[in-house]
Amino acid sequence: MTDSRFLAMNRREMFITTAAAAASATAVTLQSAEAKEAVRTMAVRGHDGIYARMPTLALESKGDFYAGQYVWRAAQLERAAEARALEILKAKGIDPKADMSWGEAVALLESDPLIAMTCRARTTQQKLKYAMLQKAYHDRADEFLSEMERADKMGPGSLELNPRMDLPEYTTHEIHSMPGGYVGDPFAGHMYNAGTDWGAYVDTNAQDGSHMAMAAAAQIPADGKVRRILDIGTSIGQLATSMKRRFPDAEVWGIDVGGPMVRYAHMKAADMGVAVNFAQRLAEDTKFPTGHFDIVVSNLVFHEVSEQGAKDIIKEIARVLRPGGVFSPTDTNTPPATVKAKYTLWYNYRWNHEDWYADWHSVDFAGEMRKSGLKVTDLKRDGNRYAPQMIGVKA
Amino acid sequence: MAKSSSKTDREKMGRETFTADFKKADYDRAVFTNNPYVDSVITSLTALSANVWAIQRRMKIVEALLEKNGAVTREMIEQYQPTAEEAAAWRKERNDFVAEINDPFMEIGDLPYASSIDVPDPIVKKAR
Repeated sequence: MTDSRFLAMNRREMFITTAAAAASATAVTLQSAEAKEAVRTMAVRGHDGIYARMPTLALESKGDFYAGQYVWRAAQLERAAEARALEILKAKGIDPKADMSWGEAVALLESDPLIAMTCRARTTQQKLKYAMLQKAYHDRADEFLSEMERADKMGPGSLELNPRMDLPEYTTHEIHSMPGGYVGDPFAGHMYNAGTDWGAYVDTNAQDGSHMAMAAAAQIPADGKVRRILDIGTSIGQLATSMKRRFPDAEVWGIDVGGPMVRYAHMKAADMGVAVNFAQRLAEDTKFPTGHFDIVVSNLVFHEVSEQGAKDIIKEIARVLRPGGVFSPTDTNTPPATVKAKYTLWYNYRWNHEDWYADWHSVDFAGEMRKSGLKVTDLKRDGNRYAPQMIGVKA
Repeated sequence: MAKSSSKTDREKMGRETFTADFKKADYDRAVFTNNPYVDSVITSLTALSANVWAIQRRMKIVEALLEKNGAVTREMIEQYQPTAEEAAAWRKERNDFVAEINDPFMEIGDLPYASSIDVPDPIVKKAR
């Protein structure tokens, strides 16, 4: 691209301009209505802060409704269900913090209609929003695939895809009910981004707010040297790009098992002008040299990994850290403190298809870190939910 | 181990999609109430509500554009960016709308309360 008009444009604007120019050129031979249609379908809706807006107003508005629904469920409905659970347990003379299995908690609470409604509302929301997103992107598949193909070759940053890589079975599940999971749909990254905007990260995702806070709270080596950073299970690259913003001189890598995830991550980072290297690789076999990184970060990875996978990944993290390097995770496991919390975990495991929740709660996270040669330090979060609860420093 | 390149997707889309074969989950079979149709009605109502909100939001944009410009085109509606004040006001309206639809689900009461209360009406008592 040598045209000086493009120098000040971001990737998406360049794409639109190129598409519009192509459509104008073709208009010489096409009917003008057809040319206009070509421009219209290529047109996107600008940016909201750092992100491109959803491709249509209808999609954005329905997503906005699901975000409101999520807030209502997570606040009002869950609060009412908590109170109901306490009533039920009190009537049965059971301590709300009684030591019992997930199955025993389910047997006590699942027949209550109010508690059941929390599950119905959650499953309904997941099902509707993902079905809507999948349809929207597949209906215009050629357009969105072409956009990714153009972005694959663009910078800043780089993209490595490994279509012939062997995937462990645990990575092929439809985690949290997202169609195709992280590996099975070409628009997995698109769906994850919008799905978490309207769900788990509601009101804090759209401008990478949560991930910027995680990056700000990430721990660094005692000698202060941060030259190379690795984000494992980078998903759509939000923590990786946030780390790059915090450490602009560092070389930052984001790896994920999902090809569509890292493609989208790269497209988004390039769109924002943030130079991160994304690669489709396994967290348990990163292919990086031993002692290569100063910091390894992870967010929301380990609850989506099998028990063996988690052990192997921790071992690999310890291998790629240099002496004094820091593993700074945000997703260490905390045992559920109440009967109701156990019920909610069961729901997430069984029906929201967090298929590795039980495995996650079986892993002695600190113990595995120690076994792999990391010195574990427990940290006080001081009310900062984005800060790591513990870190591991390579001896 | 699955391969990270799905032949099905490649053939369907006519290009490399970097997808893999995946294990389908069974969330469509979940029933949480005591009647599968009640679950379906809740899902249907939620989908309907999302569409109603989308229409309401579109109307707000049309109104805002008419007020500012006196005319609108489809393109202007699609491209419209709400101001910070509009976004905040619409968020509040959305939350009120969501609550209006969903709050009844928190008023389930104690089953089978309705059939177990002592009804003083003599007609009901005698009716066969």
